[in-house]
Amino acid sequence: MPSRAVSICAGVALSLAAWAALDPARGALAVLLAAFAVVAAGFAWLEGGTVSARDLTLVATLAGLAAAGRVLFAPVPGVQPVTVLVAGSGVALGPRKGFAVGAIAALASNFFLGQGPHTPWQMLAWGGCGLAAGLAKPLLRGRLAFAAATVALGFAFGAVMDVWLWYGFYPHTEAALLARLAAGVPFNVAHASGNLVLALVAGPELRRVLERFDRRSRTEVVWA
Amino acid sequence: MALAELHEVEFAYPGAERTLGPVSLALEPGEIVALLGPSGSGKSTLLRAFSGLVPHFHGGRFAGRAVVAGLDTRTSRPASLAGTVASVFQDPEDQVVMTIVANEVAFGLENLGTPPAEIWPRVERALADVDALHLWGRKTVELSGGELQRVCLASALALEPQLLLLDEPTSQLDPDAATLFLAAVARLGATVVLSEQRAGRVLELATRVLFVEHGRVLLDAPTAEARGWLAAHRPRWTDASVDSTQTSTRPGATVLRLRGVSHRYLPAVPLLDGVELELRRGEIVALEGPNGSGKTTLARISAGLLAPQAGTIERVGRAGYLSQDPGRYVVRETALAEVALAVGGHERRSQAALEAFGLGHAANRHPRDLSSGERERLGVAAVAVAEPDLLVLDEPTRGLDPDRKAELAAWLRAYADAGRAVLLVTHDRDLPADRRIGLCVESTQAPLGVPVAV
Amino acid sequence: MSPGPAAALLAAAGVAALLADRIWGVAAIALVLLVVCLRAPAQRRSVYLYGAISTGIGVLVLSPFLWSSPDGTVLWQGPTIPVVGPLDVTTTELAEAALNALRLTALALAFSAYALLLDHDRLVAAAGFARRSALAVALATRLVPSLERDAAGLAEAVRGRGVELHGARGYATLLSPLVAGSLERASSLAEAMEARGFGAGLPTRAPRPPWARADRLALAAVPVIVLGAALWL
Ligand SMILES: Nc1ncnc2c1ncn2[C@@H]1O[C@H](COP(=O)(O)OP(=O)(O)OP(=O)(O)O)[C@@H](O)[C@H]1O
Ligand SMILES: Nc1ncnc2c1ncn2[C@@H]1O[C@H](COP(=O)(O)OP(=O)(O)OP(=O)(O)O)[C@@H](O)[C@H]1O
Ligand SMILES: [Mg+2]
Ligand SMILES: [Mg+2]
Repeated sequence: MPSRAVSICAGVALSLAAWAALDPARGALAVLLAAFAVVAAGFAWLEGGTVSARDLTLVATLAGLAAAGRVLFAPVPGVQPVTVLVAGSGVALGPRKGFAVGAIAALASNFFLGQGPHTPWQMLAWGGCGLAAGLAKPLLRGRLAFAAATVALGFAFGAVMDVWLWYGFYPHTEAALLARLAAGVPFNVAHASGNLVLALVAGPELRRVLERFDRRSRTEVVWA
Repeated sequence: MALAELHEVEFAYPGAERTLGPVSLALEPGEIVALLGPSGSGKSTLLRAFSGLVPHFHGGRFAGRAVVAGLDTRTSRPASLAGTVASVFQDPEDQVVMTIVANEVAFGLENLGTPPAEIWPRVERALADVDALHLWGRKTVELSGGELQRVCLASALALEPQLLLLDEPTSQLDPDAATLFLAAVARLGATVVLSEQRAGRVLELATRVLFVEHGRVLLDAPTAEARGWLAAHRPRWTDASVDSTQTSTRPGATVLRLRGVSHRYLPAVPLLDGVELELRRGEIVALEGPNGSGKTTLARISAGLLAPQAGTIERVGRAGYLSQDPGRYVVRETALAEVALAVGGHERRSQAALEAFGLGHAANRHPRDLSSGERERLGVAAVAVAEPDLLVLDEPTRGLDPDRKAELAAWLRAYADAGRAVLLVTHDRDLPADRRIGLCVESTQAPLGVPVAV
Repeated sequence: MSPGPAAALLAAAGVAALLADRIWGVAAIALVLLVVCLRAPAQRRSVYLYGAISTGIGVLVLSPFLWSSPDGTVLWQGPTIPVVGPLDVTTTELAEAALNALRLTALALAFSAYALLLDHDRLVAAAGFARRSALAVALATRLVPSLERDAAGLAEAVRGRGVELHGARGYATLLSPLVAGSLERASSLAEAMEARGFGAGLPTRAPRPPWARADRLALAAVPVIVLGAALWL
């Protein structure tokens, strides 16, 4: 059943995206609804998995930690630990839980920092960070590779946020797109460098802690 | 036929020596079993074996079989046993799922597929059984320790299980609430296994007594017979009153003086109101009062960790404070390092402090892998090691067995006699003190929040 | 009003703002949402109002420069810049910019009203579908203030042992125990959930208070608002 929910949500998202492309005047509505649909597909995918109580509380706790970190860093524009934590969760726990941690962290932190039309996009972008890190797991074993990936994810995150705002509410010209991207550069550079520092300083420790808990959650019973 | 049966059960936590067993026993329907034993003897582990959480949730090595209402825990997961078995764990702080009290009590009922129309009435009945109906719409994070414990107990009672496993269920309840709860347990008609450190109250109720030591059952007998055995072999378990033959030396200079201290969290709900309190060197003072009367609040104010909204505090020297849930605030990775934190890493003093509280063997263990009682003692050691002039302990007897409690009492006496003051927050009348001060709540005759001598 | 219908009503208002093409229509929707937001306590709403209005102003100020409309009267003629093209502001451009700015503001206000006025806990509790995701979101949201409390509790526990923490470095030493502690607690919580039958079978839901008249009216209004905006505004 849940897999059907996933495909329905994904189909809705695709058709909304097509609508956005064909009717640029309604771009704002179409892409917003498409973002909601993709996020819904992600959650349906989550519901479909065999989520044990242990996975659920672990995901919620990581998302809560990321959200709290974001709230803590709120005074520093652009810099926050969410991307690194989400990418770390993706690598340690796999794409499904990585997505969940990212999406939930975005939603939860915005209850303290302010909900807005950016919420579904942040859920999508951070969920995507966790998903991507989870899929690229074998490549991200090393400390440097992981740090480089978080830098790339930082810029990708910024690009997603700038592009949707442009498509929804700015004139559909190259000039406007460039202006939007340029306006985002300071934040994105701050975000990416924050990621780099955090990933280098705390990355290995984060991985160690997460993998320990993941191992513990796969309890082994020896029946004698 | 037996409702629950352990057959030659042996268990070891992952990477540890055998903690439990071999244990064989059978529980008949309707029995109320008191589970007694020293701290760290395996009581909680034995209870987890009945609910299947050992070994399914914790992992480790398991031998023998546990069968509950015809379901073998080898094949049935804890969640599928949940309708038949209900557990209340030792630490209420770590088992709350929902944000609102009523939803918390309904959580288990919803999981088990209870018909919707029955849910709220059962929630209501369960909360009434622990005198907590007034907490219905409260947020769970804002409750006092005892209030939270009542909510956890209600969550288990609401499930109306055939087998109810209670791990030190009254450790933070005031005496009235404890009596009320035990009466509700007796009414339930289910098989109950109840682990307790303060045996007196429970022996009134229990039909059968188990005494566990080092993971084995030393005694399994009807209550009357068990009383005799306990009196002969473990006298402290039947008569827990610690003899305070050593009278205190004459109280010395004042360490703490509170004048007109008032504090409340919600403007509409009065709490502390004009509290006067004085503590002198050489004194042990116990602070009592019903759940939610503001004892923890007053203790934190006394230790200088919370500024009251009105009133003055004078304190001489340093203060040390042990919170009501010390297991929650573990800073270091080994017990030794945890204690050493307060003395700048001084190993010999730390080791001595661990020994003083019977934790010498656990110096290199992770604090999280200790039993609850061991963790409580670790908390006391970590605070006491720095020898503050004023030692404030919030419910220090939580999880302490009678022998440990006697040791703690003696240690506290010596500590005070060395010219320091101790403020104890406790429901435990067995812990001797020079003075007892009671906090009252609105409904009682004495004015609110004003200490009365007891 | 129950949280579900109220959220639906806000969503309808947001969608209507994006569907409406007449500037006064969008302005009216934004105004109504602003009035709704003003019912929240002053110190909480200021962040939201500032965010909603400032992004709108950004769109209004920037976009006329970023495209060139062939029609409309030219209000201001500037130099031609490489990449961006000729800098000028025409009435058409300004009208279009104002429409988009108002749409964005109205949408942001709809989200703000949701965050400011609806009890998120009750909404999540009321979610009949996706129970596990809803629970995870509720737990994560609850963890943020509880981490704050735990950090305070840890600092208090350390101070209660007579150890003073100095500066950012001192508090940074509490970070690792804080993270480890919350992960440990996650595991104890999971144990408690399992013991209470989480994931055992088909769960039921405790009945929520029935929808009042206002709730049913709100739900009925949702399609009216959306259709009305699409057809007439
Ligand atoms: N999760 C765990 N991992 C490893 N060892 C553990 C774990 N939980 C408990 N132990 C150890 O197993 C032994 C028995 O613990 P248990 O919690 O059953 O004791 P208890 O009788 O309930 O003690 P208390 O009265 O202090 O609660 C103790 O030595 C404890 O340190
Ligand atoms: N942060 C808070 N916000 C709102 N109310 C609170 C808060 N902390 C405590 N309270 C309330 O204040 C009252 C007193 O709490 P306190 O912890 O001092 O009680 P206590 O006497 O120590 O109770 P117990 O015996 O259960 O530990 C309780 O009713 C509690 O619910
Ligand atoms: Mg125990
Ligand atoms: Mg208290």
